[in-house]
Amino acid sequence: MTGAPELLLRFLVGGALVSSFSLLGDLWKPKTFAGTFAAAPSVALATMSLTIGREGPSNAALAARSMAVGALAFFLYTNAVALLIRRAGVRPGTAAWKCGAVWAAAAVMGWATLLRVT
Amino acid sequence: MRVRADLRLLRHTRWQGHVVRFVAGGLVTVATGLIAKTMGPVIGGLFLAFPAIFPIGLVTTERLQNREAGPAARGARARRAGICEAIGAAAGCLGLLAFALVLWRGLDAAGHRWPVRLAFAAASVAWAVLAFGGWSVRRPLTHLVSRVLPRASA
Repeated sequence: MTGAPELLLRFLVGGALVSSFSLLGDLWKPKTFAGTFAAAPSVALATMSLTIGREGPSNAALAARSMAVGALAFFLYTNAVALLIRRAGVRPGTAAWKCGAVWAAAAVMGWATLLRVT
Repeated sequence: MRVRADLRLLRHTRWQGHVVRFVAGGLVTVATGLIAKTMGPVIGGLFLAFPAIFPIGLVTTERLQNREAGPAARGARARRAGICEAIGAAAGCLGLLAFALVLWRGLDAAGHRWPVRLAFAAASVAWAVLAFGGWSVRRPLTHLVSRVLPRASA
């Protein structure tokens, strides 16, 4: 990735996919079901569809393997958010930002234990 | 409660919220590409599952619920909606995990590599099956959590 046009293309494709999934989520009831769209692979679809042609499927496979670790970290993060709201009565927005460290810690641990050695 | 789509629910959303999500999605996609370019696909891949949109969704939901709730229910209703959204997102994460694993297997040079379009299609189906399947078994899980953990006072 070098030029500004490509960055702009990434921005537009990523923004369109993310807001489409989020709009899709807004259509559904109950709220728990709508929440599944908050973890849709929108950024992955945008990023990989733009890079796979140039960098090849091998790089995409490596990225997908790391993404699996990131998804586990995301799972822990969402559960931490739910627990913090439930147990401590923290506001949802505050809980979401405070638990960001959970995702970061889990992702780093996953990288160190599962990805770094290979 | 039965799952249903309702276009009228879009009336509760505001255009500013959609703009914020569009910009955030675009910025995260650009940032992920730059990280992958400078640090390689192994580090960059982690950020393909970065929770960038989820916090924005929670903040938007909190504002919406507080706006719609009466003074007595303000705060408590937003917290309940936040927990619901987080539980749903946890199910979505299972789908995200399946998406990544199928894509990895499908594109890995060590195995029998699939055509790229087939790999993406199979991964997307895996996401839907695991996300919606995970959601459908959330009830026993949340009951378990409710028993183990006390609810915060409103």
